[in-house]
Amino acid sequence: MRLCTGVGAELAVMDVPVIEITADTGRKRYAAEVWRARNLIFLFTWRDTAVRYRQTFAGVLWVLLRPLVTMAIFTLVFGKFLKVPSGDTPYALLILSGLLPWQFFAYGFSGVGDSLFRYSSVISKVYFPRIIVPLSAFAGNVIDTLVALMLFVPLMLYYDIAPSWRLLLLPVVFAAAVPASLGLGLWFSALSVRYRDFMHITPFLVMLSLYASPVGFASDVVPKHLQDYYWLNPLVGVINAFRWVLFDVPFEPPVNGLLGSVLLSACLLVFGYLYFRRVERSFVDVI
Amino acid sequence: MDVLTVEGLSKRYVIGGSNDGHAATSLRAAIGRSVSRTFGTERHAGEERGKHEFWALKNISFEVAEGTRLGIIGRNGAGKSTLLKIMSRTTEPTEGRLLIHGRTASLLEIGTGFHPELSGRENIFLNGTLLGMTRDEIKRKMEAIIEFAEIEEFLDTPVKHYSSGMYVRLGFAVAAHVDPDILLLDEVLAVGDLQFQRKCFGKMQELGDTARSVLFVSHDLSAISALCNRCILLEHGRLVFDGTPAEAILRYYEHNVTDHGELDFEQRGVHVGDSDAQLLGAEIALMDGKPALEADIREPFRVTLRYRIMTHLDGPTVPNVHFYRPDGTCAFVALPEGARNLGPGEYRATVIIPGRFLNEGMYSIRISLTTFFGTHHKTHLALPSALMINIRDPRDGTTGRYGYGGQFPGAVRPRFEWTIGEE
Repeated sequence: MRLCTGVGAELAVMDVPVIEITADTGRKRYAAEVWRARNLIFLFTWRDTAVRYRQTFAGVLWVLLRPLVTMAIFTLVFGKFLKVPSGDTPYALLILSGLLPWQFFAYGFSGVGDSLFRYSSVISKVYFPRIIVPLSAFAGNVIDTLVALMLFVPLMLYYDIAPSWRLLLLPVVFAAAVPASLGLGLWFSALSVRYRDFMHITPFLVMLSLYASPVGFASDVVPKHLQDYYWLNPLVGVINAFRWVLFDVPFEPPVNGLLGSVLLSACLLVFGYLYFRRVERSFVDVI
Repeated sequence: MDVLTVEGLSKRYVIGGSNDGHAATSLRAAIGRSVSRTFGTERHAGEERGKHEFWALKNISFEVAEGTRLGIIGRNGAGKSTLLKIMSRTTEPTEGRLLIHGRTASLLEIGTGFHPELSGRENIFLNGTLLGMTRDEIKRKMEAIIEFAEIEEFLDTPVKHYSSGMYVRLGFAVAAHVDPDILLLDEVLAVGDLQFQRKCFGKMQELGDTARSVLFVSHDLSAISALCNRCILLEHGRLVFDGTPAEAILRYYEHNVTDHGELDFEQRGVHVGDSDAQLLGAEIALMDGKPALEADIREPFRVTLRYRIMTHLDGPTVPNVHFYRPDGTCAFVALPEGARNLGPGEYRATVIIPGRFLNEGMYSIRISLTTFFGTHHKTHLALPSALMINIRDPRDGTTGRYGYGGQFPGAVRPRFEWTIGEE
């Protein structure tokens, strides 16, 4: 027996498949259904990315402009006016290396968070495992981040900083931000289907996460005895690791804080996913 | 072979509910509820529970064999769309199950996932994949889809520049090429221009003829009777009738009448009329004498009345039939000219309603028996909706529609002689 309405029906050509639809169809064989619908992840990602890059007059430039302008303002405010110390790293690079992981987290979270709404017209008409939508929203965020990372090329050439072998660890560093970002996003996407107000909470959380993370400064400005708590924020570890990868600054996470943030990230992902799955079946009846 | 089996299917919606229905609500309301629950101050327990449940479908069971073109009719809220939604898996049933053998595609999904910024070609891929086609399959069918949609020149134009007609054509073209085993249609014929409507209709007929099954939900009962070979009628979420389209449409208009096409009051021992005259029976039959609920729009049929006159009356007793449309308009009254005063006895009157005279759709027939006394008349009986007949237009190009896919307005649709020449 094979599930095959809508997506994944390609397997139906040779033999006649049988679909059984009952009250809990969606809960069975979920992984298999997602796998069969994997094409859709690429398709949705491509659709949104193509449109985003085609629609805006500046195209790809927009993705680069956002962090670039933020970097300029932060450099001016924190570096020039407030004279926040940046160690050996040029201030612009310090900011950018905080900004990109934060953007990766924040835009991932908010993009995933409202993805179900953006796709409500599709969701109400065609069946596919709903998790495809947030997953492809996140994939789009990965692409944007890859493009934005290109900003480092001219800047590092300008400041004459050569990357070391540690650059190979870059994917690992960003991967560490995925569970918290995706987990929160899944949670919020499902919540905002049920409670419309969550749409308004997202931008606030995005802003909050910017100030709660060491974007405009190095994380050692936080007092020693608070470091463990500070590191609970998964972005603190990610941003510090990213700076270690790029600039060879020390990476010395407090053990408790690091363990705590790993645990927190894992919880966010697991609970976000579970909540999403629980609410998923009733999306259509609500949207 | 059955391609679709539906067993005890039910779907419940909770309107305004917070628990099972997961209805969208504001956070404040939800918090307020949980607070009042915690402190036991929930005053409106009844109201809370009173968020009424609503069964959109209740215990529906039926099977669909290969090659069936099943019409699904019912009034608004009868559960037709919910049934299609469950079949296309966009919503889940609350109880029961559904077995589908093969691939389904539904035209509920015309243009689903279309993005206005993307070109026609890109949207074909997007929509095709959503409808369950593989990349190779879409590539293979690309030419056919483009041809069907008639958008060759605009293939690489973003669809936001398309006219609404082009948009719909493209959507239908993709859906029509999915090659489903079961095609689900919901009121799709209402879209597009005339020529395209005919094309869609043809495509649907073709699908049915190639042993695919079509499930067609529509308010256009004439379209149902033209396209379908079986029909179910839903009322308040329940399946109340399953049979030929003509019977189902009869039931749609009139719940209780079981013997349309043939009435025999004599046998039933029912007295219809007054002390002067009474109706014994009535029937509608095709020209070969077979009682019928349905007639082809091109063919004549006859209405026969049997009646008895018991007393000597001072004028001719004239049988007459009134044809009514479902909206209550009287289409016409037919009565014989030059009827004579026949005196007591049993009589049979037959009138032939010509072909290509009535419009397609349902007519209910009121039967009456009237004696005209010169200065006044007396109606011995008037039986509303005594008989019903569905006039079926096959819409196959032989009935002078010029491809028009909708219902012609008018109580009748007579064919007249026309002369058209150059001036």
